[in-house]
Amino acid sequence: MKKIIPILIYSFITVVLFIFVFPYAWMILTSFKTRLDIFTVPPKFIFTPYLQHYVDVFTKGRFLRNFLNSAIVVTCTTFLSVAVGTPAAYSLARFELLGKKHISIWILSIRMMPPIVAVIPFFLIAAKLRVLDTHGLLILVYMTFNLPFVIWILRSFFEDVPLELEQAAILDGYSRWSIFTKIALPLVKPGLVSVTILCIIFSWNEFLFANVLTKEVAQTLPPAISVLVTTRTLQWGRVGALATLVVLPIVIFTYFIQRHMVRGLTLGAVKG
Amino acid sequence: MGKSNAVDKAKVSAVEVERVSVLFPLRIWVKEKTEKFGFVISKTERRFALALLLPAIVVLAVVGVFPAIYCGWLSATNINLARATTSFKYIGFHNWEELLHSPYFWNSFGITMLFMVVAVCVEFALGLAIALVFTGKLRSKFLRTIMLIPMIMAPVVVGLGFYYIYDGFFGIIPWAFRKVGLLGGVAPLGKASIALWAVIAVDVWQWTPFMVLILLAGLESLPVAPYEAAQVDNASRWRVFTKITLPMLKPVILIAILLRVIDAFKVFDKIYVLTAGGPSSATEVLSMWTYRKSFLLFNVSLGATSSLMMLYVVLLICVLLYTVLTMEKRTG
Repeated sequence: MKKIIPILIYSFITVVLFIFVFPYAWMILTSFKTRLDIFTVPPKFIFTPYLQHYVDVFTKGRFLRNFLNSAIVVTCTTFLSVAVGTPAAYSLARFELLGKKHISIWILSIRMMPPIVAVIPFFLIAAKLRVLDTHGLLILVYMTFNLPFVIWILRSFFEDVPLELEQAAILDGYSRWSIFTKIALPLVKPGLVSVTILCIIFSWNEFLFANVLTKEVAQTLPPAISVLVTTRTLQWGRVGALATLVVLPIVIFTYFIQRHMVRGLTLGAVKG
Repeated sequence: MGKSNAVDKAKVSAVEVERVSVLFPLRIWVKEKTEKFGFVISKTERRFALALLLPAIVVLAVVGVFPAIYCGWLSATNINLARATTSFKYIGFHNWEELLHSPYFWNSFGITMLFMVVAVCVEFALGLAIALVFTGKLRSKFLRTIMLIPMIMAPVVVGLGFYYIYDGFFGIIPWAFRKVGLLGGVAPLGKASIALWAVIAVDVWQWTPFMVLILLAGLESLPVAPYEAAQVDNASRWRVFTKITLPMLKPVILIAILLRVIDAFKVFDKIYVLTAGGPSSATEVLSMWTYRKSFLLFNVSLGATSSLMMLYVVLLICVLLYTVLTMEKRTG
């Protein structure tokens, strides 16, 4: 009887993994089927691959532009968030300023703010200032969730840097800024890497801001894909191809930092 | 002459003594607070700390505080982009009245609450079960990545994938149900009574791995000693679980649940792509309702009011979250 338990456990694990893989595996399979295969019932599992959908994504429609927009916005907003957030995180970690607790709660609440709260004002102001549908607007607006996130996570990383190192450096005559750049920063590199990638992921996947604030010129990928569902519901092959292409970069990134992701996703509470 | 000088000097020095003796305890208090951390704050250091912090505070004020204040202002006006000809005027709490008396708002609120509670409970239960089985076995990078993928996929893409899977004609789930005879093989997203559950299932699919990974990390970081003691005492597995594992996991569980609660409350992308509010408002969560009111019906002042309401709820949960997070840091 005892011998069955490992078998049960491993088959349970397999079933669970299968469930969590199936939906997007099915989408990927669909993207390689011809239109005929997609619409056959019962669904086909074995078929000959067909790459035209991927070609279509890049040649027809404006998805190349959407890819570019996503890439631009994501890079800039991540860079800015990390550049502004890292010093702030260091400052919060090291210096005992009055009101630190209140600032921390404030930062956390901005991270958790429902995007719909920010969208309405941003839309109205951007419309008045005529900056709707520009990259710059999205880059700024995305800092709403990226910047607090960077500050929160990096602060816990900075707090892990041993104080003795910095105190020794002070004794050696380093200036505060050199301590920050030459001692503290290199030691939080894993934190920087995981925060950067998580910011990239959040910004790449963001939908509501992009949907409301952009339309043609600066539209990123998620709103572009959602349009496919509402207006042309039957282009499943192309939808599958696009979905695969949208998720692929993120999966590749994740594979390399998955060790640090738990800490990032739980706001530093669990040092997985 | 000398006498007035002396009197003046005495007055001046008396004032100075007053000033110093008032500031002195304040200075001591500040000094104590800063020395607690091991770093003595001199004026230049404080300037340095503030200089590092300032750009972030400016950006956060623009991007976080300003929208909230603007929403507050909006909710006191009667701005409706669809009726651009009505004169602009302040209507005070009228929007709030309209909101709190609107059955549609309460319908959305109820649906959001139902979504939140069911999704988080199911995710937690499943996540805990799976984490308990996975303990110690999820070592390889590849398996970890597989568990991470649902979480890092854009919710829009997840919605799309499930939209296809749930499709009444070509989706694989209705086909499977038809084969097995369950539920008459109807398209889950088209029927008002099951649409919400279908959408909750999508959220469960996407976020159970989150619970699994957090709980797994928590489980794997538990100390071994209590378990050895329990083994010596010959405790049953159930007792070990309820009296040792669960209490030690409490902070991790609380954080995971609070994080999920906030995210489930905000849900929008999946709903928009799957049902856009659902067959006759069956899946119209608060974000969706607010979006509809603001950008499809253009009643931005009512939308601002509703989003302020959402902000208050989230703020409340945030304070809870902060307490739990810092509690964990102090003991962890």
